Order: sequence, then structure tokens, then C-alpha cells
Amino acid sequence: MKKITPYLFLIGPLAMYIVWVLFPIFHTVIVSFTRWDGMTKMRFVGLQNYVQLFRDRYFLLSFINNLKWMVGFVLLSIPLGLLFALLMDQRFPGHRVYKTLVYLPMALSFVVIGQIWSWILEPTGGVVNTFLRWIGLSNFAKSWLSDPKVVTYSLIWAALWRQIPYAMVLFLAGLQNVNRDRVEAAMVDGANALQRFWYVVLPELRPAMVVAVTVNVIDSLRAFDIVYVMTRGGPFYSSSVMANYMYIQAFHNYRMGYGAAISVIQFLVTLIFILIYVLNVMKKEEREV
Amino acid sequence: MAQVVLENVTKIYDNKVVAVKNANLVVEDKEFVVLLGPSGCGKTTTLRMIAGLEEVTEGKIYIDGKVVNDVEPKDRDIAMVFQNYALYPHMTVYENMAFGLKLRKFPKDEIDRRVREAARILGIEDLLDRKPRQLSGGQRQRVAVGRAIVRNPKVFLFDEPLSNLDAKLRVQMRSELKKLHHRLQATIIYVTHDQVEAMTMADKIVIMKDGEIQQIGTPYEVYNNPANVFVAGFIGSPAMNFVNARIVRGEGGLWVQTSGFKVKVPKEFEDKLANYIDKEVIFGIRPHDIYDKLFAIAPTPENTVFGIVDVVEPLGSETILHVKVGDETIVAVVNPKTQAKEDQKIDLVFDMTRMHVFDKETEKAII
Repeated sequence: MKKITPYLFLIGPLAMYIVWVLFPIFHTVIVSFTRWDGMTKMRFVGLQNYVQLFRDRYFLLSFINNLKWMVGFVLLSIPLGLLFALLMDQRFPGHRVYKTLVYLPMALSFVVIGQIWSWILEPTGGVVNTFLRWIGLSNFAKSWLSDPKVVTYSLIWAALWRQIPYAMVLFLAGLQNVNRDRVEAAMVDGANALQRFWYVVLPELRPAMVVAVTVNVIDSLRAFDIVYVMTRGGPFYSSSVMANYMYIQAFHNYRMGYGAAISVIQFLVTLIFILIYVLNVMKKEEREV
Repeated sequence: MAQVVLENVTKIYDNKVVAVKNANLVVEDKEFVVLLGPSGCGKTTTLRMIAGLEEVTEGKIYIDGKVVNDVEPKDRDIAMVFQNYALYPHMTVYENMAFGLKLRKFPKDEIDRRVREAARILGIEDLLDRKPRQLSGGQRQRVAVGRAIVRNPKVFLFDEPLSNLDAKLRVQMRSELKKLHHRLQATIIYVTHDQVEAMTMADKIVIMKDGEIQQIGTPYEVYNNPANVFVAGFIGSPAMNFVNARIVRGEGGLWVQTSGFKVKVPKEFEDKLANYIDKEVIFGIRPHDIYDKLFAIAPTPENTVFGIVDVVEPLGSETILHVKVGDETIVAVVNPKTQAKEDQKIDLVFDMTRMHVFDKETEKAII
């Protein structure tokens, strides 16, 4: 009896996991091999959807945009999140207020953030362009959300507004665990502030770094809400990302099979990046034990 | 190597909590000085101020004649060993020990020579390629010490370095640190709450309480001539007996009169007590200075006290007796062959030449 008790407890969650996670993944893979409008009968078409995907320049554009999101997330939210965390960790007067202010975007949904940034980036009366004109840089004022050259970066920036505090919180938690004595030992050993950070603090932040990078990679590859709210992937798919393109194909154009194929690719790409990272970390940890 | 001087050093946290009050201390070159006191007495704060990890609120700290109040820890030429070792977990033992030298841009072969020399002294040559997590507590402690000695600093600071080790290892490391001090001829300032560590290792003990230095002296001095009630009670185990008493003039001279007994003051102390006749004082005597009458060398009615045995604690080498004398309980460490039994009568003999008397108000030592 004792032996099966844990499994009895697992039945509930496991059943839900199968119904809500495993089955949809499996079903999506099946659908991706068919042509289906969601109502009439599915027709099996083999790899046709996938073949078509790799010839679809809008899908490729979306894929490349996702990579831009990923680079932007990892290269900006990690260092900036870390920087903010280090600043907040100094416990200057009023640091709690600042922490809350920086953290605030975390409490908002991407839909709200998208709406706020749509106003901020609005070409005529938006804060950004108004400010640029005010300081005499009207040349730099742009149609942030309708210029195909900058629109993706505008979206990434809006998303970073929430992503940076997220990284900050992860690093702040990590900083709590940094051993003060080691930092002081390094002080006595002759390390300056930068060396203390590099040789003592940063290595101890590695677990937080692992989580932050992983979360940012996943978030960048599944980006959807901000794009959908702010541009719907436009103009001319220039700000489209895979999830957004999938949504349009599946639910606007009723091409369920094609949409499923996009989802499968998106899933595999995410899986590859995560696996690379996790294996890398595990190897490092093994070396150190 | 160097002299360390504290001049009226005060540390106040957040404008209200006084951690160290007006500390004056001279640590001579090559001296092993132990800061001793209960937790919260300010000893670690004092050490951290010498290290430069805490700012000095008032007063001056000198190392080698120079004021170092505003000198960064790294420029003070000190090395510190932390209670929990504070080794860098991602570096090997070798890298841990080489770190300070590397930052100071020593040439590679010089670093190598010094690290291997230190490892040899500490017997950790086989561990150089290991990471701290692969080491036992005692080994980590050695690495922490090694990290300090490779730098060959002016002053070594130790912050309760043995308190995380088990009892057996502590005894061993104690004697090793003492040997190391002889070998390095270094100035060492060592913080502990363990009086045995302090007594066994120190050239000079600084006893602190509530941020104030109570007494500075050799182990012999603080044990035999404690400056006040606190030091007298803190040093020595079991602790000194304290009894409220009155100095009275009686048959043949002065006597110590308590609620439960009366013993005669030896002639040599009478001058010092001249101002305290008929006044309240605190009488102190160490358990080791009390004898079972059967084994006492010179029992006389003038130094013998009658009591009822409350508890007998045989330790083998000696026996501890808790004896009810009047309203007081007196602890005595007596010959293990004692016949004392619980609830039975006993005669205790005080070695009055080793008695202590403290002022009731100031708690300062009179004798």
C-alpha cells in the first residue's frame, strides 16, 4: 500500500498533464501532416506543409524576427537586469520604492504593455517623438510601428520593458545568496570592485544566470501577445514572429495543418536552444563536482 | 611585520547602536593577541575595523605607525581568515591561494613558489587541484590559512577560525596555529569566544563586554588578577564563586562575613581593604582554590566553611561539588578521592591567599 500511495497522488496531475499537454502536442504533430480547415475532414498530405514552409518567405521572415527577439532579449535583458539588480542591492535610501517601480511592469499583462507602448510610440503625439523633437532631434523621430525597418526593434524594446525587471528579480534573488564573507575575503585579497564582481559575485550568480537565459530564450521564441496587440505582425509581415504567423494562418486563413506545422517548427527550435543550454550547464556542473 | 594600535576607537551603527566604545589597544610586532568575549561584545567589529571592512566612527587605527582609517582593506597589507573559511567555490585550492598574489600581479613562478611553500607548511600539497567542496572542514580551514600566509602580510586577522570544527580537530588546529605563529613570526589578532583558545594561544588577551575593553593582559594575569567581576567570572571553568559579603574587624584582624560563613583575610591584604571596613563587597574565590578538608594542606578554623553537599560531579581527574553554604551555593573542584555524598555535611577549606574582593558598586577588583 505504501508503495503505491505516491502514484495514487500522481494520477490526478498526470491525467491532466496528458490531456492538456501531451495530447495537444501529439495532436498538433498529427495535424501538421494534414490539410484541414478545422471543420471538414482532415486530408493527409505527408510533409507537404513543411516543404511549403521553407519556401514561404513570410515564415522565414517571422523566423528571423524570432531570432532578433532572442538576441535582443539575451543581450539586453540579461546585462540590464543584472545591472539593475546590482544597483538595487546597494540598499541606498529609498531602494524599495525604486525596486517596486522597476518591478511594476512585471505585474502588467503583455496586452496592457502593448497598448501603453503603442501610445508612447505613436508617431505624432507619442512621448518618444515629442521628446525627440523637443531636444532638437526631430530627424530621429520615426513611425516606430509602421516603418518596416524599425518595427521589430520597437516591439522588442516594448517587450524588454517587462523582460528586464523579470531578469532583475531573478538576479536579485541570486544576489541574496552571494556569500558576504567571500566578497570581503576578496576585498582583503586585493580585488577592486570590478574584480570582486567578476571573480566572486558573478560565479555565484550562475544558477540565476541559467534560469534567466533559459527563460529569455523561451520567451523570445514564443513571443506573441505584444506583436498581436501592437502590429498584428505588420506592416507586410515585417514584424511578424512565428507564433503570430501561426495564429494568422490557422485562425484567420483556416489552414490548421499549415499552422500546426509552424507550431511544430517553433517547438523544435525552442527545444534545440534549451537542450544546448541545459546540456552545457550539466556538463559544467559535472566537471565541478 | 608590524605593530597595530587602536586609539580611542569607537564604532556606532546607524547613529545609535554602540558596537565598540573607546577602545585603546597596542598590539606589538610579532605578538599573538586574542580578542575574547561573549557574542555581541564588539570583538568581531573591532577586528573588522582593523581589516578595513567596517568604518571607524571615531578614533584612529594605526598599522606600522600609519593611520589607516581611510585606507582600503586591500592596501592595508593584512590577511584575514574567516569563520566559515570564505573560500572561492569555483576555484581550486591552488587558485584560491594564488588569487591575492595574482591580483597583486606577482610573477607566475613567484606565485607558484609561495603557494607550494604554504601548502607544504600546512600539509595540503596533495589537495592543490581540488575544489573547496571536495575538502573536509579541517582541510578547508588549512586552505583559508594558506590563502593568508602566501601573501606574507604585516598582520594576520583571524575571526573565530576554529568554531566550525569539531572538538578534536579544534584542539589539533589550536596547537598548529600556535606553531605557525612561531614559525612565521607574524603579528596575529585573533577573535574567539572560547576562553580555552584564548588562554592556550595568546601572548596577550583582550577581554571585551558590551563594546568595552574590560582588561588587557597575559593569560596568567587575566586568570589570577582579573580586573573586575566580569573578567573574573568569564575566565576559568567552572566560573569563580561570587558571594555578597561585608568586611568586618574581628578577632586578630579583618574578616569576610557573609550570610553563611566567616573567613579571615590574610594579613597581606588588610591594607587594601582598609577603606572597605563595614562595607558591602563581593567576595570571589575560584572553585580550584577550595579544598575538601580531608585533603587540605593547612585547614584552620579561620579558613574552613561548613556546608551541605548538593550535587557531586565526578570527572575522574577531579570532582566538582556544589555545596550549600547558608543561602549560597559554592562550587568547589576537589580531589577525586573525596568522600563527599549528596545531602551530607562537608567542611570546605578556602585558600584565602587566592581570594578576590570586588567593589559592590563599580564591580572593579580591590584584591
